[in-house]
Amino acid sequence: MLVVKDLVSGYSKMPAIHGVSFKVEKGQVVAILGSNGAGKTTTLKTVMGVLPAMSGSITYKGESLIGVPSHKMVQKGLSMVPEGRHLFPKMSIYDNLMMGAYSVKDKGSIEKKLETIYEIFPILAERKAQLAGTMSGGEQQMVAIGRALMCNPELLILDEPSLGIMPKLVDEIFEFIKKINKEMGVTIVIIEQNAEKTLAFADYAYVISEGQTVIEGTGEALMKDDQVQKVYLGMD
Amino acid sequence: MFLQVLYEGLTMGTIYALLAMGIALVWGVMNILSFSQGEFMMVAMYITFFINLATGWDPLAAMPIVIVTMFLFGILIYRTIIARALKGPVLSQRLVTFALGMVLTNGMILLAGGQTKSVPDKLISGTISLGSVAISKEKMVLVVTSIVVTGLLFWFMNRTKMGKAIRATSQDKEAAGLVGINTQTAYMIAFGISAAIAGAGGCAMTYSYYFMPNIGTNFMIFGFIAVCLGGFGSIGGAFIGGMIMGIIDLFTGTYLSVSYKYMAVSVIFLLIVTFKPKGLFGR
Amino acid sequence: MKKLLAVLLSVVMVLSLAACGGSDDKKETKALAAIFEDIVNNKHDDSSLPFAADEGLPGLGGAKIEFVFGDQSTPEIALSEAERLITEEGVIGICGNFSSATTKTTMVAAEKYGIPVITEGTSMSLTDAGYEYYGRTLPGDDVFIDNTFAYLDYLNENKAADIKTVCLISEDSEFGANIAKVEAETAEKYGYEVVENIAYNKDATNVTSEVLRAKQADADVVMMSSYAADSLLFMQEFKTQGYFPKMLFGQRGGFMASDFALNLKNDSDYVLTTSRWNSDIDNDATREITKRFSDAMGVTLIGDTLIAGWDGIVLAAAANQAGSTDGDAIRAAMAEGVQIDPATDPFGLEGYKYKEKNGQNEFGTAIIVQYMDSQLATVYPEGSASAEVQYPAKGWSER
Repeated sequence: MLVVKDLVSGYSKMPAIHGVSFKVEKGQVVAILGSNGAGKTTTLKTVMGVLPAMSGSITYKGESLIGVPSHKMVQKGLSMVPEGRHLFPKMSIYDNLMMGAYSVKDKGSIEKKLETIYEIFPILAERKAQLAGTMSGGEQQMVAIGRALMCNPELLILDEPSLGIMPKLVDEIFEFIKKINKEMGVTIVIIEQNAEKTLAFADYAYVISEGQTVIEGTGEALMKDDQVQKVYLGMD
Repeated sequence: MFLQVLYEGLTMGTIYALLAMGIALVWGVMNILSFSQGEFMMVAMYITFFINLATGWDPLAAMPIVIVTMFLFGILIYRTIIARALKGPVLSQRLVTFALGMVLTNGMILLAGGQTKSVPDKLISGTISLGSVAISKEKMVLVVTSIVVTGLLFWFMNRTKMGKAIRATSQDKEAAGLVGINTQTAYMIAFGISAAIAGAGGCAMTYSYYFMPNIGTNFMIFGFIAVCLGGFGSIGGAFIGGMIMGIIDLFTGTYLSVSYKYMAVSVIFLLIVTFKPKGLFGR
Repeated sequence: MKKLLAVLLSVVMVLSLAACGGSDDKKETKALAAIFEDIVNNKHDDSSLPFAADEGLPGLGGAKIEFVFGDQSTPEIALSEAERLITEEGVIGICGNFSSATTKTTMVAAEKYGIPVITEGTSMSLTDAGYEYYGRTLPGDDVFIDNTFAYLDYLNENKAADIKTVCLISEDSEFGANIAKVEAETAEKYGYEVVENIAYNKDATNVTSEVLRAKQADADVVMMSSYAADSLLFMQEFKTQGYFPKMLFGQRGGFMASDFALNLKNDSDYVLTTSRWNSDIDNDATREITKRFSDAMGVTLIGDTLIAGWDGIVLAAAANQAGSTDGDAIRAAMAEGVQIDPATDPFGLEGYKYKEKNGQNEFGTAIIVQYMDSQLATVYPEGSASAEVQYPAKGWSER
C-alpha cells in the first residue's frame, strides 16, 4: 500500500534521514521504532508532505507522493496524528473534529463518522463544546485521533500517541488504536518510543537509527531480539 | 456633555476597532505586522472618491464595489509581496508592510496630488438631537458600518468553512495542512479580508472625513495600541481595544487637556507592555 | 556694457505645501513672473502697473529684468539654490520664499554675499534675527494678530459688535505655539478675555474633544491657526456639533488655502481670516494683474503668488531708485523708502520702507477677508473693502 524507498529528507537542506525504507501492507499495523532523534518523525512528516523529500521515493497505491502538498494527502486517504497532538486550542472539540472533515464533501458521511467517533470516545460527545486547549493530555489525544479519522482515511499515521499521557491512559489509547485497526479496517503506521507496548500489537516493525533503517521484522521477532532491545531501543 | 463625549468616543472607537481587527487578523494568521492597514483605508477612501467623481454614486452605493476591490487588492498585494516576504528573514517580514505603506502614500500623492479631498453631497447628512446629545448622521454611517462589518467578520470566522479554516491555520498551521486546509490560500484570503475591512472602513469614513494621502499614518498608532490592548491575534479583543482607545482619546481630550491625549494613549501602551504584555484578553 | 548691467532678479520657487495650499504654485509663480517681465521690459501705455510706460528700468539705463528660478523644497535645497542663484546666475536680489524655514537658510547665503532678500515668511524669528539684507513687505505674525484685534475694536466701536471673549485654537507646533502666545498677549493688550486656549496635535485623527471644549467655552470669537487638512476637520466637526461662534477667525494657513472653499463649499461662509491681498480689492492695479493672470493661466490669482512676484518688482524699483545693482545700494534704497506710485500698487500700501534693524516694512498691513457664498471678499480696511462684514455669523441650523 505504502512503499518508502531510500528516503532522504530533513530541515533546511540538512538531511536528518539518509536512506529510510519501509513498506506497509493494507490492514497492517506497522511500527517505526527508534530512540529520540533517530529520524522517525522526519520520515513520516516527509511522507505527509510537511517536509520536502530530497531524494528517494514514496509510493502510495502505486502513485508517487513526492511533491504532493500536505493538504492534498487527506484526499488520497492518508491522515496523520502529529506528535504533540497539534489541536486547534481555541476551537471546541466539535469544531476540531469537524476541521478533520474539511476535505469531505458528503455531509451525510460526516455525520455518520462523527457518531462512530463519539462511540469510540464517548467523552468527546459529552464535552463537545469545550475548548480543546483546556483538556487533559489524554483527552486531547482522543480528539487528535478522532480528528484524523474524520476524513475517512485508509492509512492513519500516529506520531508518539503515548507521549505526555498519564500511564494508566496509555493502555486505553493503545486499545483504541487496535480497535481502529480491527473494527474500522484502517491501516496504521505508528511511531513510538514505548517499544514494548507497540511491538506487542504491531504486525511488522522497523527500527530507525541515525537516519537509516537498520532492522526490520515482525513485532514478535523483534520483541525477542536482545540486540535490538539493548542497542536501538534502550530497553533492559 | 458626558453623554456627548461618550458617544463621540465610541464613534471614534469604531474606526480604531476596524483598523485593529484588520491588523489582528493578519498578525494572528501569518505573524505579519500590517503597518500598511491605515494606508489601505486611505486607498479605499480614494477609490470611493474616484467612483463618486466618475459616476456620482454615494459612498454607501459604492461600498460593495470598494470592499470587493480592496479584497482583490489585498490578494494582489499578498501574492506579489507578502507571500514572498514570508519566505524571507523575520526582519523583512516585519518591515515589508511598513515599506508598502510608504509606497501607497507616495503613490497616491503622485496619482491624486497632496491636496485634501472630500466626497460632496452625501445621501445622509445632518444632526439628530437626542436631549443634550447631538448625533451626527454622517458619523452614524461609520458606526453602523463598523458594527455590521464586525458582525459579518465574526459570522465569517466562526460559522463558515473558510473562516474556520483561517482560524485553524492561525492556531496551528501544521495541523491545518494535515487536515486538508491549503494554508497558502487561507493566508491569502485572510489578507484579502483584512484589506476588505479597511475598504469598508475607509469608504464609510469618506462620510465624515476629509482626506489626503497621508491620513492613514495618523490612525495607525491608535490601531496598533488597540491591538496590543486587546491581545495580539484576538479579533474580538482588538475590537474592544479599539473602542477603549476611542473612549480614552475623547475623555482625556475633553476633560483633561487635548495635549494629554496622546500622552495618555502612550502611557497606556507602556502600562500594557509592562504589566500585561499579552493584552487584556490575551492568554 | 548694457548686457552686463542687465538686472537679474530671481524668484525662488514655492514648493512647500505647508506654507501654501496648491501644488501648482511653481507654474503660477512662473506665469506671474512672465507677466511682470513683459510689463517692465516693454512699453505698455494701457497698463497701470509699475514701469509700464518705459522699456526696462529708466534709472539703470533701460536695463531689462529677468526672473530666474530656484528650488526651495527643503531648507537645505533652498540654501544651495540661493548660492547658485547668487554666484552663477548673478542675481541682484532674492524673493519668493514662503516658509520661514527656507528663508532662514536662504539668508545664510544672502548675508554672505550681501544680496538683499524680500520674502514673506511670517515668523517673528525672521525679523528678530538681525539680518542685514532681509526685508518683509507685508506683516509678520505679530502684526497680523495685532491687526486682527484692532479689527475687533473697530467692530465694537462701529458696528456695536459687543465682542468680549476669545477662544484660541492652535496647532501644537512651534508655529502654532508662537501664534497662540502672541494672540494671548495681544488679547490682553486690547482687553479681551481668553476663555479657552486649546493646542491640538497636528497629526490628530479627530478634533472632537477640541470642538467640544470650544463649544463649552462659547466665546464670542474663535481664533484659529491651522493648516489645510486640520482646518477642514475642524469645520466639519463644528458643523457636526452644531456649533458656530459669532465670529470664526482663522489666521491664514488652511483658511486661505484653495482646498478650504473647494471642499466646504457654502459651509465656508462667515469664516474670516487675515490676508495679504485679495483679488476683489478695489484698485486698478489689482484689476489689471488679476485679469492678465487669469487670461494667461485660466485660474484666479491668489495673494501668496502675487506677493512673491511683487517683492521682485519692489527689489527692481529699489535698484532703479539707487541707480545701481549693488546689494548695499539696493538695501539703502529699501531703508530710505522705495518709491512706488500708489496708483500702480495692487496692495494699496502707504509705503515701502524696510526698517534697518529688522527689515520689516513699516507700512505693511493686513487686509481682512470673509467667505461669502464660498468666495473670499475683502471686508477691511474700508478703503479696500468690496463688501460689508457679515456679523454675527448665522448658526448652522439657520443657514
